[in-house]
Amino acid sequence: MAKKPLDTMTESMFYTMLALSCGPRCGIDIAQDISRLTDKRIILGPGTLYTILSKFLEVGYIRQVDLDGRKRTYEITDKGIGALNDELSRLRQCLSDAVHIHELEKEKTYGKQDSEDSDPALCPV
Amino acid sequence: MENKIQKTVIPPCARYDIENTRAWLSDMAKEGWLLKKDGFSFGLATFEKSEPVCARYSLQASILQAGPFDQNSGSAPREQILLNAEYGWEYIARRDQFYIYRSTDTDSIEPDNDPRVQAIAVKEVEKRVLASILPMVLVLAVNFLTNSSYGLSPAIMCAQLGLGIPVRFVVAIIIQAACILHEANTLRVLRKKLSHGYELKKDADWQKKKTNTRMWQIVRIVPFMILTAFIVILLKLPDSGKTAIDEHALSAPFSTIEDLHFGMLEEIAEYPDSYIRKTANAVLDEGIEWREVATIKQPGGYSSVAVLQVTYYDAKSVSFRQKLFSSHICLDERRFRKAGDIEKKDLSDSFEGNMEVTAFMRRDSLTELIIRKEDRVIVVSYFLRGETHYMPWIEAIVRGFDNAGISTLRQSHT
Repeated sequence: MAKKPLDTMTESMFYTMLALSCGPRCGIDIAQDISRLTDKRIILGPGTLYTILSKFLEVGYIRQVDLDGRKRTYEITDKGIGALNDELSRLRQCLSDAVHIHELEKEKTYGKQDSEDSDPALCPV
Repeated sequence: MENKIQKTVIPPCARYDIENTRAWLSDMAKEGWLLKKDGFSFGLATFEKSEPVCARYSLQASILQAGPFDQNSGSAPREQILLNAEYGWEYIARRDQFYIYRSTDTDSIEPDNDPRVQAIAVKEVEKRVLASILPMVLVLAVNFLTNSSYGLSPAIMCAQLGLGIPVRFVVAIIIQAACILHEANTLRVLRKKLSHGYELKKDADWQKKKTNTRMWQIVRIVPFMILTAFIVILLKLPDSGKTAIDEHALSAPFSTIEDLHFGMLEEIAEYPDSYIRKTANAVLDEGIEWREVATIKQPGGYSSVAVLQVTYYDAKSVSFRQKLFSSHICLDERRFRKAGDIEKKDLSDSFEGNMEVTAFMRRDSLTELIIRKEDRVIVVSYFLRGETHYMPWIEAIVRGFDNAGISTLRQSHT
């Protein structure tokens, strides 16, 4: 029986889901994908990766699809896709909130006109 | 085959202290002692002599519960071993709920490099550690229920097993539970730190906690020693401290079926099918148990069955005697509560002298008799099928107890 969904998703977890959303992967492939996706900003250690995969299997976000020799391949489930979409929505909302707050702060500081003229590329958020 | 020099030590770090354990193992490697493959067993760590090396160790929490029939139980899961091997970490041993990996490559990635994910793994261990307290709670609950429902009240248990054993048993379980709670708390503190992003120190000063760890290790051993002693005593109980009454020169200090069943000996002689089977008769440290079952052929051809069980205590103090007496009464009240046709009667007034007699009687026969006669407490279960005039039997039983009692038996034995 699948357990209740995870309360929070860490960055490592999010990228693991993201890697698996591109198709079935084994543990090492997931780690390499994440390293490439994040330009080596995030490198998952084997302990972290194993814990994430075990936890995702337990809550039903992923399932094992193949045992090729000594490697196990995992794929994301519908429940996992739902969780990933929820996390994406949450992150979009966070980003949107941050941009909104930042614009309000700029309006207060420079006035509305300056704010509209300012270059969004210079926005630190 | 090359014989490597080995040494076995008691780890100076608690089994759930990840930070200090790995620092200690690394320090041992620097001194030229590498943890042996599967080198943790029975709370001891075994090392093999090698060249001093700079080795890093990683303790990875066992996230999945290995079942009793799981081939991986005892060792790390194969998937985890393979993943670690890809990153240059070699599986070495298991210590309780943690798998220990080693790497001599200084550039290898730290296996648990996301503290928040590590907190999830530690939480699984914490849950299992806390769950391990359940059997103890269960044992205490069963012990309590058994005591309260089926007669092993503390006083009776103390009289039957000796004062210390029931107390030591409960103390052992409480100490063990306290140790588990302490470990669960250690894990909880670690988990909280990890979930706030705390990264474990690579060079923790494990010497600082050495004394504290040693103290807990000693405390942990105490319940095991007590429980082992308890089991040994229980196993030896049927043989130790018991002497067959038959071996004594004196007869039993109380009435037996032969005494109670007036003229039975003649009847037995007349009806050879009659017999008495003594299922237990012995002098114990704390008292006497005597059980007899008789099948008696009566004149007229019908047979009756008589069962006599006597438990005879020499009370060591007035308060203990009273406690023992009232415990047996309470026990019978509980036992016979559901049987509506069993009646409790105080027969103390029927007998002279300093004596208390309580009888539990069914309509057609005596069920149990509890007697406090001077310093002795005597519990008699007597059943003779078909006998309805129980009062003569009760009188015979009560008066049949010899004042000399158990002490005379012991003296004659020594």
